[in-house]
Amino acid sequence: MKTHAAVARLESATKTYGTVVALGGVSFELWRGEVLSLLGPNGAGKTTAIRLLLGLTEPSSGSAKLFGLAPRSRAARVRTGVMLQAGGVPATLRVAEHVELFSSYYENPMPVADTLAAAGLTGLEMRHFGELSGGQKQRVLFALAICGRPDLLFLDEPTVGLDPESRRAIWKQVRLLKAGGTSVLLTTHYLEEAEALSDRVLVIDGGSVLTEGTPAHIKEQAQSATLEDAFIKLTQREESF
Amino acid sequence: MLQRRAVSVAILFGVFAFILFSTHYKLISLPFFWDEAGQFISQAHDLYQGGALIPKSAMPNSHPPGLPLLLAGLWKVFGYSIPLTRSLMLLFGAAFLTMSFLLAVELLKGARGVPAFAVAALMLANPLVYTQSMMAQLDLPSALFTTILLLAYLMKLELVAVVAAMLSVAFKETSIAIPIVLGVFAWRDGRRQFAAQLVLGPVLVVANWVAYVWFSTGRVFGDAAYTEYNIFYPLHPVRLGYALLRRVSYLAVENLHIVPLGVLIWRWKQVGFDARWRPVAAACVAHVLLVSVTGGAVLERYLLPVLPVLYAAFAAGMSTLAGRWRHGVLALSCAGLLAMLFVNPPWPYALENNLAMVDLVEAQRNAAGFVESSLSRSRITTTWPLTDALRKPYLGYVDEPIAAVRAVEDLSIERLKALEWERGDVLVLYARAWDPDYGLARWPWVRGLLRRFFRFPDEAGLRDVADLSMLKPLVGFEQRGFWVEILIVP
Repeated sequence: MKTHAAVARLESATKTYGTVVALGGVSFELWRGEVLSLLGPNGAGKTTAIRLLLGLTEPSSGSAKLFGLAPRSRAARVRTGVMLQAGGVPATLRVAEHVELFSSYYENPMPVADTLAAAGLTGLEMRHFGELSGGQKQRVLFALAICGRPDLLFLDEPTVGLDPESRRAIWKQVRLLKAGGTSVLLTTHYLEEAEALSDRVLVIDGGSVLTEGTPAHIKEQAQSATLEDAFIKLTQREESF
Repeated sequence: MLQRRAVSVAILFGVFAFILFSTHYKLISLPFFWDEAGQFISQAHDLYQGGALIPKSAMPNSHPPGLPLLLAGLWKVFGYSIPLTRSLMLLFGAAFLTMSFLLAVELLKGARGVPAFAVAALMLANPLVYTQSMMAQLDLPSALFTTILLLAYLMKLELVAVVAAMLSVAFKETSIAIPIVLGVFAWRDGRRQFAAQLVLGPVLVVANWVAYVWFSTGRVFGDAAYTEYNIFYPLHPVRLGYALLRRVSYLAVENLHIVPLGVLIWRWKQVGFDARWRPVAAACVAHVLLVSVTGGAVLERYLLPVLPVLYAAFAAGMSTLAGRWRHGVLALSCAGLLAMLFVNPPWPYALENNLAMVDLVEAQRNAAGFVESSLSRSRITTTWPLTDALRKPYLGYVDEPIAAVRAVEDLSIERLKALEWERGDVLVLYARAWDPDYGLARWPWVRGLLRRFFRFPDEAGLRDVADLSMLKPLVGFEQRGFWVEILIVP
């Protein structure tokens, strides 16, 4: 896997606000076809790391690269899919219109019907986004993230508000994308989700990486039966709250 | 002759512009502060975005739309930008300093030395002039036009005076006292047509705007709460007395004004103010009285139109001293003014009067950046003006609006404890006023008075964080005594 260049790379990335360090010299790479989960309590620095990689903010020091390029470059952006937050999507467009619109941004998008099917939205095409339930909205956001056949997919809390069946359907799609060579950077509060999907886990707290490894390695390191127990042990040890 | 004078004025303007831009360059991108954010920029932004003269995202109010029209027009041509907005205001500042200098030259004709330079030095050293020069607010542009009005009145440039009077009230209606008083003096001098124009021109501008506001909102001043706070609230005898005391204190005592004032009183007879001063002084007194009986916040920026005249009077007093003493008093006065740019007085005051506004903005900018970067998915509870800072990216604090902001009226412990809190909720607690441990507002009887007569809320401080047991501190920001604490429900 690591014979290829990193798909995404943070190198000694620091983000400070005045004297407060939101992210303190964090480095990691994401490889082709890998699912990497960023775990950490609220305010730990996960979203900051993702915002740096998306080019939504500049690092105070260090660097962020996608495909070896600046995150804001067009060449990097057309290979990237991002799961947005619901507030950023117009409520008055229909589901199919949203998918068609987003697909038009990419050079080689999936057929709209395939995207809708992959996100479990078949039958909801003509519904306005604003009329959908919270779980259905999440599925639309997932569809918008994958419609461009991205090489790199950012999933920030992808299954919040989904019923177990929908959640497992999204997990299935993530696995299919990974099998097709897509790299996925996942943040989630559902640790069983991270355990089920991730090749590697990075635990962040207080803006620093606490530990990194496969889910099995992290459980062993924390002498815990589940990733959730390991996470609690690791973050409480740091007295993050 | 006219051409030479125009070149001189242009050079003078260039010098003041250079000084202002070079002393403000680090602040040119500073996010908008308090009334800028809550009123003037939001109002101009509504006009820029939707063409609405009556604001939707700010409280409708009585202020004529001079500034919003100017800013919206500027943004339409060049695009919306904070540095562009602040640059425009700095140009207004340079023009205000230029006109203040020319007014001083006119008023101080016959005085010894070159006292107009003393006026320029005092104006440049004044912390209020420093901060207001870059702020998108009404008072400095209005003060520019009232200064032109006073100058034109003295120089008997009647058309210029009438136009300046109308422009001054097009930016702020409270400037109207100045042309009315000057009109009375012109009438007494037999310049009746000019007097009528000087009064009727600005009255028509204000009346036209008030009629439009009434027609659009059903209220003369646009909003019931605005009317109550700015028209009726200041009329309580205690608040009125306090407002007048504040005016006297600012003009006569604070910023070491007491030094040049003492010289002026001591040398009153030697100065020998001539008749030209009478209408100018009367107009200034009327303006001070008007902005004391109106406007709930009793802000010092309302006094900007009278500063050039006050400093010309100070300079007249100094000009009667022998060389070394004259320079010494001027240096001491400027030092007092400059010191107050950095030193906060030990009582609650308008933070926009000095660099405290920058400290508050920077602390909030850092906190808002952290919230956006690390907590943008959480529900953020806080109070105005940070609520606007988080919701409106064009104010300069965040790149994207924070989706879930819960606004509370104030940050008192009782109010915060009464709220429902859920896991992951975030509270952004911060100092909204200058309230140091050694401050006068810490004296119980002062605090009692502030609470009773001035709606001063007992907001939570850093010491009270422990009382909010459901919340745990996450990070804290501090800049020169202004703090922001971010707490989270774990």
